[in-house]
Amino acid sequence: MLDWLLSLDYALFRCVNGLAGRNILLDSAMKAFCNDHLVPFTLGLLVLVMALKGRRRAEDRENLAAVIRVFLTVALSAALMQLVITLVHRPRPFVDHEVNLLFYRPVDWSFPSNPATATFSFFFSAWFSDRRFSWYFLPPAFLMSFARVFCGVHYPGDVLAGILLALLSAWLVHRLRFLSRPFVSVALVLESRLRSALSVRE
Amino acid sequence: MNEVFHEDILETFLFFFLASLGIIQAMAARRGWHGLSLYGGRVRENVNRALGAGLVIFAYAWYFSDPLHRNVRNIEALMSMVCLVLGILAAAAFSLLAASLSEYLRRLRRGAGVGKPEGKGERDRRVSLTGGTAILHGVPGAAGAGRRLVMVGEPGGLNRRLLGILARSLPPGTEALSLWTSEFPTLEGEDPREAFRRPLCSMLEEMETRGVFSPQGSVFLGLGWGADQLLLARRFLEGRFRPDSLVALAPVLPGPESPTLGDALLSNTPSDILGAVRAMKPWRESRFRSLLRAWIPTCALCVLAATALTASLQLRWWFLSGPLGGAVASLWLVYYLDRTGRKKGVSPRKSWEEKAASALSSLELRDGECPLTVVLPGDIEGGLSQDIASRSGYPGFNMVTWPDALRGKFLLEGRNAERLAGLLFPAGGSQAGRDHGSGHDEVSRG
Repeated sequence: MLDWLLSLDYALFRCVNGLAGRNILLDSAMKAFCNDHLVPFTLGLLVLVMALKGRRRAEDRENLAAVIRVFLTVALSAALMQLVITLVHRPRPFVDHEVNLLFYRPVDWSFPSNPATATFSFFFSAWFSDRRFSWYFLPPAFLMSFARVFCGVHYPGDVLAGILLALLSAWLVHRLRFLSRPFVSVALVLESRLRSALSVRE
Repeated sequence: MNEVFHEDILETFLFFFLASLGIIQAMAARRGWHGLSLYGGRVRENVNRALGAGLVIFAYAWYFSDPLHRNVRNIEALMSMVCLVLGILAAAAFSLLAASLSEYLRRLRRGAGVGKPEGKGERDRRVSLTGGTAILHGVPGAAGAGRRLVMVGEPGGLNRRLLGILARSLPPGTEALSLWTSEFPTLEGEDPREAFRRPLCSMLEEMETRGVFSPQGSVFLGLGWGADQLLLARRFLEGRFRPDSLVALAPVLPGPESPTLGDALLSNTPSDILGAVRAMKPWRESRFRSLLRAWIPTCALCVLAATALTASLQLRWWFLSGPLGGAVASLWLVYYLDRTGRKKGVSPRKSWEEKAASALSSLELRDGECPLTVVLPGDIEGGLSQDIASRSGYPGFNMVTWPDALRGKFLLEGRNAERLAGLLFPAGGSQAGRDHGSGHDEVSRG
């Protein structure tokens, strides 16, 4: 069963990675999305937009709670990922196979995909809090995950595992509210004290 | 190699700082947060948006123009996350400082911040009272004046400088007194409405008993929280001092939908907000004290335990992640310790804002004997004016909206002080609340 899954994973990898090196524009775009910085940084800044996008204070308070849960989800998914990495040691595709490599050679294990876990943690956590705004997180997350396979540094199975891990983390953080409640409460108390401190000034 | 690594950390931090600053400025324009405006006045919406977009575009173009940041691993994910958080915090801090500084300079330029502080003018007389301070303003020609004005400022003397400026802009022949209670009520124990009202009433009684100033037949003006105190003490004032009229300028009133008191960011600068928090002294509240008592030892224990753990596991950055993790864990623990206490009835459930909102939302403007005018600034929550109108029954009640006036930047429009003086003592001789319709005001009668 496992062998069959691994061969399916490799077949899918070859389909996607086989597209690399054919079109210089597509290669450049994929290299940009594959980058360690572009998508994660953009998602981080989108969280700031999410915190400030409300129209009234009541909305701001909901957004503040959502942002805290996003950060908790990212932290939890990173912890779960480290746990999986200690248990599963899967080499990168370029170690065992001939691939079209458009990226540098990462030295850590391949399973699960670190970028997929991180970027989809942003998406799923936002999705549980604010369905409408969360869709802004999906295209960058999807493109980065796809680009990692395209550039030859991850198998599709690594990406899928990262997505599932992110979903599990977001679900846990939103389901087990007692995890985030203390931090949300502290943030809301501070927000309340600061934003109700009105005064008539010259 | 090490040099490149450190340089990358700095560049990544700068990228987040610039991009976050751009986003904060663009969002401040969108939300109309005049308090965060970098220009010392109102939000210039298009300028702020352009500045925000420009900063974000510049940050991306600059950072990713370096090939090192495109397809080569440099700093690790954890450090990127730290740079993100620090960059956002630094951008927020810069916005807060720059907005406060530029507002300070604006006040200096407009002459609002120069001049002598009130109570130190040549003809001003400062009087210390039980629970507050009063200042008798020596307006030329006030001796034997027919016009008397009592100005109630915000607790803690938040707007004492504005009171002084208003006193100087009054028409000749006006005897003016400004006063404020020294502290905001903690709203613990006694009825919150009483806690706001009582100190003001006792101060006015003391003034009369000591023969310093008789508020009989005066026009009463309340500013901000002082207006709330005035409205809550209305029945007492009418029974005791028979005021000529009451004017509530920018009272703090909760919106009709949510239990909040408004949004200070709409017009107050961050330094004003901090000043107000300092005057409110939340650390006097028993809940805060009990939380602090529980948190300090818990935090110390958690930090020690977490640092010992990270050091023994030889984790990277253990000297940073240990204390930080311990401090975060202590917050979590103390929250549930406090929650258990609250379930046992040890500490109160409602926050200060919720208590103040519930006290002020039931503010009744009916049943008065003297004319009342409520002046609402442009930065009030939508729907609030209708809510106030529906709460008002006195035939002489007037609600005036000044859309161009901001609570936190009242003198931004150069003629607001004169406009207020005209509202208090109209040229025709009629007093506030009886006839005050003028050019740009939006007036409605309750």
